[in-house]
Amino acid sequence: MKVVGQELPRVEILEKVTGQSVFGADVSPAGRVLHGKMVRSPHPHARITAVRTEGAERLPGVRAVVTAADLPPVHYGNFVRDEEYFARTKVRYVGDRIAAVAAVDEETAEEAARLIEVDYQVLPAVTSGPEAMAPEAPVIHEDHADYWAQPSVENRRGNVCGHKQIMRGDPERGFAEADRIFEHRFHVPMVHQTYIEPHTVLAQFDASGKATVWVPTQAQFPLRAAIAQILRMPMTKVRVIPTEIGGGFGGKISPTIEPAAVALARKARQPVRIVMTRGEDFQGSNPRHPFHLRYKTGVRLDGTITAREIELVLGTGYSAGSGVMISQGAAVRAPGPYRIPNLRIDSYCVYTNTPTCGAYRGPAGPQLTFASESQIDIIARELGIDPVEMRLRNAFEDGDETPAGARLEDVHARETLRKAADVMNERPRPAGENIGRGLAVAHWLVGGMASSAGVKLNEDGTIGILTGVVDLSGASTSLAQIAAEVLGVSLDDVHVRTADTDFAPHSTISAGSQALKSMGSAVLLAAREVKRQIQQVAADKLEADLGDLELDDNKVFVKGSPERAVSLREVGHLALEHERGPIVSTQSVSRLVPHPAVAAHAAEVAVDPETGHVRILRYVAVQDVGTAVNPLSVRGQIEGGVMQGLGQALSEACTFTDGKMDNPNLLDYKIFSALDAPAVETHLIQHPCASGPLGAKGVGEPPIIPPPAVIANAVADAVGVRIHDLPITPEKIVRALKARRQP
Amino acid sequence: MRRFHYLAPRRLDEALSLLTPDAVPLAGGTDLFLRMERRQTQPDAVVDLKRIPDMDRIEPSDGGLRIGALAPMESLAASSLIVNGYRALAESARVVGSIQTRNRATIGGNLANASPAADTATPLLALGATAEAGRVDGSRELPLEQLFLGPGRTALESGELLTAVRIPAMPGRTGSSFQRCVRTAMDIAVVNCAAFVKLDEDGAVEDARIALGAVGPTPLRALSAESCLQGRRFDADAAAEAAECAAHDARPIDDVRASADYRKDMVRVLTRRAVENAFQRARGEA
Ligand SMILES: Cc1cc2nc3c(=O)[nH]c(=O)nc-3n(C[C@H](O)[C@H](O)[C@H](O)COP(=O)(O)OP(=O)(O)OC[C@H]3O[C@@H](n4cnc5c(N)ncnc54)[C@H](O)[C@@H]3O)c2cc1C
Repeated sequence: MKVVGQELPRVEILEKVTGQSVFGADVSPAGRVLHGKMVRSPHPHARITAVRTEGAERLPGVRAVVTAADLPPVHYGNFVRDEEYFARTKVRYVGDRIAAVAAVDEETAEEAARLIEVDYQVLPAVTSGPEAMAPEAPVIHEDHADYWAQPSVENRRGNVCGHKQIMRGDPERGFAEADRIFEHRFHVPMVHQTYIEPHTVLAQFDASGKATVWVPTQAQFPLRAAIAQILRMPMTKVRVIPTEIGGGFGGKISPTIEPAAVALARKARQPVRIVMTRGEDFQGSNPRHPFHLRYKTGVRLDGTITAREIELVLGTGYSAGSGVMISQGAAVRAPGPYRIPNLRIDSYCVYTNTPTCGAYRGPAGPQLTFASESQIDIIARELGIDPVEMRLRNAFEDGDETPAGARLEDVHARETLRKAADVMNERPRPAGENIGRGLAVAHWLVGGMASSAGVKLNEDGTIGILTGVVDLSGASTSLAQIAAEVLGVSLDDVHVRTADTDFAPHSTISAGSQALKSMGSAVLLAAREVKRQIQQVAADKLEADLGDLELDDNKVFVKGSPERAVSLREVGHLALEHERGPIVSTQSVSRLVPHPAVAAHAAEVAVDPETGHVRILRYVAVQDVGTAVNPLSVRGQIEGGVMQGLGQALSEACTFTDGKMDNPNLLDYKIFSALDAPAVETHLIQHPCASGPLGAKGVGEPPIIPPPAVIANAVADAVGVRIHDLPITPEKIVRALKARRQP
Repeated sequence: MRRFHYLAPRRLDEALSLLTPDAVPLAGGTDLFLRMERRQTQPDAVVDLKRIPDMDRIEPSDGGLRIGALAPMESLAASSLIVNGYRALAESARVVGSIQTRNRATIGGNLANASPAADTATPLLALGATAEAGRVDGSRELPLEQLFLGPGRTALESGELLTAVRIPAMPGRTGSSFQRCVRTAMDIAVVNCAAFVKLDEDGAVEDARIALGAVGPTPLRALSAESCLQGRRFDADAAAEAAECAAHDARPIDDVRASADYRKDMVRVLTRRAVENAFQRARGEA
């Protein structure tokens, strides 16, 4: 292949590095823009007895105030309709939406927000999943049994808004056949995406009652539907225009401030912009689910796993959001990339008085893998088996099934795992004490979603692609590479445009590692159809058989006699006169067969046993990526995922006291910075995948999944203590080392 | 952020005359702007000191060193006067924030901000620095210990500016070291510590100063640790005992960054390392 597989710079890179890209807060429409501000609950759980807005409304400069009273009584939610946009009777987390104001400037908006008076009757709150499951726990949604829910959401009771159970084989017999049984508990706290651009939106109403919403979103079509549903507007009276996006990582899928901005703009008859502060973003968006996990594993002395019993408690926050879906998906991936004949998995999705979590990159992945892969290491060490050998012995293969019964194809777990171990072992361990190595392997299942894309030949011989998918991490470049490959042109000859919900053909969301798989498949079909149309026109011109024509170097030529050729530019013109007319095709794909994408990482760390500080000496990331459409993008995805994963491993946690977040700022919510970043040695395992476009697999999620387990295993190897509770902070290591010295 | 007047005087006396009670001085702004954004400070006027010539000079003075309050961290870390004579100070300046932070953050701002975790405060305390405060009608000098009153509070009076920091001469057989403990590379110290020792001809401690940060309402001197070293020759026990004393001198609290227990442990570790290191340097070994 000539274009696919090449390391090419991203198509939009010049605009980005010269600061010309228009991000959410940069949009400037005609007309004076008002500043919007949310009014949020200071209590994690309280009954609302009164909301008084008069003070704010009277303040000079205030143009609109909206509360639940301005909105239709709509309950929404994709899986359980348990959410109201503005709280009516109860607030359920610190940050719950009470009202929004719009004013001529930011200061006035802030002042107006402060002038809104709310009377609360404070209720007891619960912020952790297990606490919320206790029989005496305060109930967060008293009447959630009455809410509409999708049929797949089972066993709702108390604060449990979904419980999925999976049974395979005969777990009891599996444990009876085991020589040893191990049981461990793990905890992973809530973590936040900390994209560089906080949530922001600009909304405008025109005379016909149509709302236009400019927003950095990963999911323009679902967002349009959600805004229309919440405000009870006809869907096509809402136009969502996706702007450039400063990172999303799954945090920019569900609606946050958009409905408020639209409601304010409608009431004020003026455009309204809302920009979240970092503190608001930490407390009012969709972070990663906290998990409590229990893993019980039966093994034979040779390391063969005979059974696993897994209990997962996911704290979803004040509403089900995507939590139920993620807890169901977690059940399917919980055993890890292994063939385990006997399984019992219980996955609970539980309401808590915290922000509703979303689909942070690789949802549930780092949590499950931290628990599962920590335990595999513990077991291997106890049995005196090499941890890599133990994993290889149990790794799944083509033809094995997921716990849900889906047959797996294109599995390269063993090769990926072996490569990570080999690369690490290429160099000997440095001399010195308290140095250790750890490894972990994980998989992600990449599906596909309904998508369509248009491809056309322009009269100058260049190619245009029209999509509705937001370019979050290089999708546009890879789509252009696919079209360029099929049509025999260079990347510079392909122009990709992401249009808005009014003009784009329906496209998938940019999430779950499936944007390229879904959209790439649609672009591939459309490019192939455009190629056929080009051949048709060229065949007439060259008086050749359609089947004898090849496309390369911006030309169509007869196989074997390259001098009989016509340029694409000529074809573009000819088509207008030709009976077939302009050359264009829009093609669609629907749900695609999921494929597993495996990541195996290994790290070498040095631990300071006195301070507990962990220094990463080497980090190896190997990933099974199918065809790497653009290896540069793929490596970038892997490096970025590793950095985020390392933050979760070592320093990130949203912590709460009395339901209020302790650290809603970047000083005390510690992400990995460039100064912390180790060099990442990336290696790609490339075998074309049957269900991906030109063999590509999804690449975005896998690299964020292994790091916490890798670091936990490396730290255990270095200093002999095992941390079961993320993040692995210096303080926890010191405490564990002290506890070991003084039993 | 509330609206404010921005004033940028070009002379020190002009700046001093502009410092009304509702005005605040601005140096690098790396602390001030964050506080203003969070509405913890809402001044009517901001008096920018960066246009005043020479207020960032680092120069020899009275055998010691005079560092202008506007000197940025990056200059401190790169100054051969500081790197050669006052290692602990150079080491602390080198770890403040990132390169971007260090190009803006000034020593005066670090001290006037009066954070208990200020990284240059502990080495300056250990090196015996004094603060030079200027006002319209003259200036005064006060030992650095007296500058810090509590978190965010200094002994500077309304209308006063910190104009410089002075550090005494460093004769032979002296050594200093700075140590800190953070959660990730770019962080406010969980604990920091600086040690200074001066040895006599026989290698016994003639003078020792140890300062601790983030373990009390202000950066503080670990006085019992200092006296524990007095007259002693270096060995592992001396450092360990000083470390134990320092842990007693520390008054840490639990907060989101660390528990008090961990902080005490780190005071022990960092003090021992700083003392050992300072000794080695005093003996010309490191
Ligand atoms: C990303 C980042 C990382 C940081 N990392 C560190 C770190 O590792 N260690 C650390 O100690 N700090 C750190 N800080 C805090 C800060 O950078 C330092 O305290 C810095 O030295 C403050 O200096 P400044 O010139 O920016 O002060 P400013 O913000 O300009 O001023 C701070 C305060 O001092 C007052 N002030 C300034 N100059 C004078 C003067 N001459 N006389 C009287 N009052 C004055 C101001 O009015 C204000 O109240 C960090 C900050 C950021 C943003």
